[in-house]
Amino acid sequence: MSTPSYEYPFRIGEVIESDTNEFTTQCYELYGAPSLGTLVKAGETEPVYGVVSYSHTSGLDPTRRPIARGEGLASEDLVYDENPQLNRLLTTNFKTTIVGFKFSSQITTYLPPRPPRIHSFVSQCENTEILTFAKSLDFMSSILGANLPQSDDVAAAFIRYACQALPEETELRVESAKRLASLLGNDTRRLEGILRRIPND
Amino acid sequence: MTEVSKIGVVVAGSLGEGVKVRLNGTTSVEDIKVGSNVVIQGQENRFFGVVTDIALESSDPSLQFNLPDVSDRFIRDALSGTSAYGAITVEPMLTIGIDQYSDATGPMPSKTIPTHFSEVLEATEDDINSVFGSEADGGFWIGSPLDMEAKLCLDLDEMVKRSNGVFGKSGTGKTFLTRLLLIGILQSGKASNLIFDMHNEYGWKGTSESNYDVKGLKQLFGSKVSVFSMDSESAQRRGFIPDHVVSFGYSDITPEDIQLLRETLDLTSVAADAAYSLEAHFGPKRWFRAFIGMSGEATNELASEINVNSSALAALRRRLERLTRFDFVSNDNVEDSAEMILQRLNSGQHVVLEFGKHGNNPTAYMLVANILTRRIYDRYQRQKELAMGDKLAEPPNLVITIEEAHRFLSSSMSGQTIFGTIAREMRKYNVTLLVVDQRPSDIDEEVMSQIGTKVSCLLDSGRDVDSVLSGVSGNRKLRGVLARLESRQQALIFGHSVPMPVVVRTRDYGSAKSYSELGDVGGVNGDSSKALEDLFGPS
Amino acid sequence: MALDLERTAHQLDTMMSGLKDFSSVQTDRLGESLNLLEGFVQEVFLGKLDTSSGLFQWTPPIFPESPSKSIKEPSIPVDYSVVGVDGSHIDVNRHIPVDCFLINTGSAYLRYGAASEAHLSSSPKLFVPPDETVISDPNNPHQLLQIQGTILGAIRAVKEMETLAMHLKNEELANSEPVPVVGLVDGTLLLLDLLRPGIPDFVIDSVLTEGFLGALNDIKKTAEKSEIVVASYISLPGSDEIIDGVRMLACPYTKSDCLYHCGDIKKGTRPCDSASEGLLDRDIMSSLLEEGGRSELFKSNFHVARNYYGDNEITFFYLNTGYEIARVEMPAWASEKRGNIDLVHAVVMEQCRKGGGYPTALMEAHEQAVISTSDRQYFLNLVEEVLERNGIEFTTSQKDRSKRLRWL
Ligand SMILES: Nc1ncnc2c1ncn2[C@@H]1O[C@H](COP(=O)(O)OP(=O)(O)O)[C@@H](O)[C@H]1O
Ligand SMILES: [Mg+2]
Repeated sequence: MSTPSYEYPFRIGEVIESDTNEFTTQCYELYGAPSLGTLVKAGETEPVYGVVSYSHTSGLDPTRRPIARGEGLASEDLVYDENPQLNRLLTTNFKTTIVGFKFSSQITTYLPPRPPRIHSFVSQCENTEILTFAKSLDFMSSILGANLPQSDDVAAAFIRYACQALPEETELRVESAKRLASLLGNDTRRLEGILRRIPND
Repeated sequence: MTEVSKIGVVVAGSLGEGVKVRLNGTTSVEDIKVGSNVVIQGQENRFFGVVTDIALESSDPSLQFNLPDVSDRFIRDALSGTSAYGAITVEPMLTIGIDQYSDATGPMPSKTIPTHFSEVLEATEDDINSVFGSEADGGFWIGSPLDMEAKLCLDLDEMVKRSNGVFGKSGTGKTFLTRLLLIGILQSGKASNLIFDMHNEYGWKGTSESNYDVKGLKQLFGSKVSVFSMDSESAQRRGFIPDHVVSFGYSDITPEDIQLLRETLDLTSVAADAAYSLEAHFGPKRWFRAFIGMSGEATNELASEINVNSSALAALRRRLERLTRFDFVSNDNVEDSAEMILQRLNSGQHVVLEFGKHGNNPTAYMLVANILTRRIYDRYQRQKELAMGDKLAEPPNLVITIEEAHRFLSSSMSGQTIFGTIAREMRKYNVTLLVVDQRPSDIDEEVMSQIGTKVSCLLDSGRDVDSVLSGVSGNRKLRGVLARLESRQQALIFGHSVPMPVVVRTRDYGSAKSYSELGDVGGVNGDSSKALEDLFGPS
Repeated sequence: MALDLERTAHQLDTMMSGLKDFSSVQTDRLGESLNLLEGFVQEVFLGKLDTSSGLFQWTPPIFPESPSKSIKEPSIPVDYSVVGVDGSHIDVNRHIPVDCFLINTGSAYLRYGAASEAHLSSSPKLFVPPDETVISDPNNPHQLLQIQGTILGAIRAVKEMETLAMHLKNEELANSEPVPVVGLVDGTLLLLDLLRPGIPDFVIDSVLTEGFLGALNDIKKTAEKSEIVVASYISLPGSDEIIDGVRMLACPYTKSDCLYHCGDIKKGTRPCDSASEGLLDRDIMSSLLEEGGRSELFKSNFHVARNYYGDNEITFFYLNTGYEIARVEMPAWASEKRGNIDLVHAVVMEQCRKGGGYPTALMEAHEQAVISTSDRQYFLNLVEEVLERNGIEFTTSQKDRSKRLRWL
């Protein structure tokens, strides 16, 4: 048995749940979820874009709870080596907030008319795509407005991620921060909290 | 076209209070100065306005209480221009139609304000030219708007129609400004100038405070300018020979002059008024000589004869004796200086009257200025009336420049002096004033209200500011602008020769470049080393 | 009140006192049986087995030399694999006008050591009429047997063994550097149910000989080429084969002719009963085996089976996993080599430790195979749907109708 990810290195998983605002991807590999804030796309020719906002690893079968297995083992990895079935029984899913879509090779930074289909392939994005979203940041309001406990971290993580992916965009960090500031005009506290999560590296 | 830079957008405002402009992220409040010009691109109109206030605003009201960590540059950068932003208040002064048809009518005073979110741009040279006119249109380049290189021009046609004023506390550049205005008038040929040069700064060499000489009008315009002097020694010391040394006879002094000198001579009103009785008693032209030659006893007798308090008359005689000590006043019949000045003016020349050492003596200054002006004005009046509407026969326009004008135009004096008359009559007889003064609040309100164009540098006191701005619309906002002028070489100009109040950095005067730009025609100085110095600036 | 709890409680009390008596008797019997095993002499036992053949009513296995020995847990190889297979089925449903059934076989391949990995899978197979739901006599096509109940259970065992055979073969083919592989199934390898009187020969031929043993033979063939063992794991074994042997040991007669000697004696009071009645193999083994230890290998001795099983004759040992006494069966060809028994012993022990008392591979195979109640309903609905779509009138009870509302 081989996982498709060997043949298609940019493919991460498949959509298993999808609604107007977000879609959930099941990873081909256990713990294979992209970092928080990563831009991914679902679908092949006219993909829908999303920012990773939540990831979750648990047993495939909700009635089976993981138990402690490493008591006598020297390392965590050994737990998985000694219990190889875990890699099959546990699964990593991640949610992405939908931020845009591509239509006739034009990227649009607002919600698509419909979310991606179930089983759409989810893969990593190219730098040009990241740049488009990093420059617009239109979607930030929906992430910040989603009022998830992790909203602020997702916002910060996206900017970190974009700055890392696009080191040549030297102004990106400050430009993004300014966009955030105008979005959070009346909540400087919150803004400051987010900005603190975007260290200069 | 130069690239226009956007500074922000209109977010609020009213016609009364001006419009509020939110600065965009790239424009810092520190880059904007109160008094500078901006253009607002409304939907149907283009507005030309002045920055009247600058403010720091925040979209988060709690910002000032819960200060974010501004020591973190990143956080500061993020906040500035977004949550914490600069705002300016712009007074829309003029409306320039957007389509070329309405542009033809030229700028009109704003009767409305631009819509929300109209873009606000830095004014460009083209904007300045379309509002204030250009040199090509016959305007006179007086300086540049704040933070701009554009040449801001005055409408001299409008200027010479009325009396004008240059105000500002001492050392702010009044004299330099006045010199420029005089040159402008001179070059345009729209009027002749008569300048009472109290401190010997206009005719032959002025000094700058950085202690180098700057050229006077004679040096720049040679034969077009005559320099008359009250003090030939002083002229010689400064290395030139005046065209004429002015002197007066006792007969030239009138009771009206005595009224003017009341303060400087420390006369009671009874004493000053006695001069009229003396004139009635001895006859015009003769009264001064007759009275001054009297003994103490004779004076007493005269007092009872003409029914004047004897001690007042005695005091008057003692004080008038001071006038006889002036070397330009003599008992003998002298050449009629007023007549000579008139001739020069009539032949199209401009006349500078240097006071030499007498400039430091207000009594001498006022006496001479008053005597001459009265004579000249009389002649103009007559000439004008004789012409009976024939423009060609009318006397040429005359602009009389007086420094320390409040001495002649104070509320107690202006009713009696010839200067008050000229100021109030406007250009009825083709004579107007260019008053230069550091204490405008001492000038009579009515006179101030007749001044067509006011050029004001920084002023000393609120009273001065009030008097300069009285009767101007948008007064309160201009106050702020006026109070923040730089202490030198900056002025707020408003009135008839500009379509709207505007702050200018006065054009440089004193460098070789400035002289050549001002059309130096070589003057009368043939000294080649001097010419070289002029060319390369003072060393 | 429908149930008189007071009286029930009273009756429960009576039951408890009876149980107490019973358990003390058990303890005595167990002690007796252990004594007998202590003095076990293999030759004597085998001799008696021989003389009593056909007369002794029970079927003791062939005992090893020292049946009461506990063999220590051997060491386990660093790299090895375990393949577990298990199945479940949906039986024929009388509500449905079609006699179909479904077997779902789950398998878990677990590789341990340096290249550890796992593959879990399941494969469902629907058996549909007319051919797949009956077994017919090749010599007489009119002779057929509907597959259900016991037979279906056996078919499922066949499926499991076939699946295991397939996986082991694949594993053998796939691995260039082979490691020891243990194939595990759940439940006994002895399909005695099939051999009960009344089951026609053609069924035995088809299911046991061709099916089950055929698959075992395939495994045996694969095992010739590499280190592959097959075993079955029986949790909580109810068997009493060893007890049968103990009974013979307890029999006071030289020739254990039960009818002759004890034909009139009531069950429970026969001489042999004192060491065996009511005991199970695991009762003795729990006294004999230390934790992690296994018994020696016994060989099943059912006459009925011997004809069919041949090389695949079943051998077994008991194992104290630390959680329970389990029974592990291996075909004789696999248990011939002592190394294979050790491998199975070590691997099953390790699997039980990992699985918390039950071999992980079997547990995961079971998880793959298991058909949840909702899936069962879903399956039914699916069948209904297909039938209705094809115009087959369908009478279901009101109860079933309500369940159909699950359909979206
Ligand atoms: N347009 C100008 N060009 C060059 N220097 C100027 C100009 N205006 C003012 N200054 C400087 O400011 C000083 C004061 O100017 P001045 O006209 O004498 O002031 P005021 O007459 O108001 O007392 C001058 O000596 C000169 O150094
Ligand atoms: Mg001066």
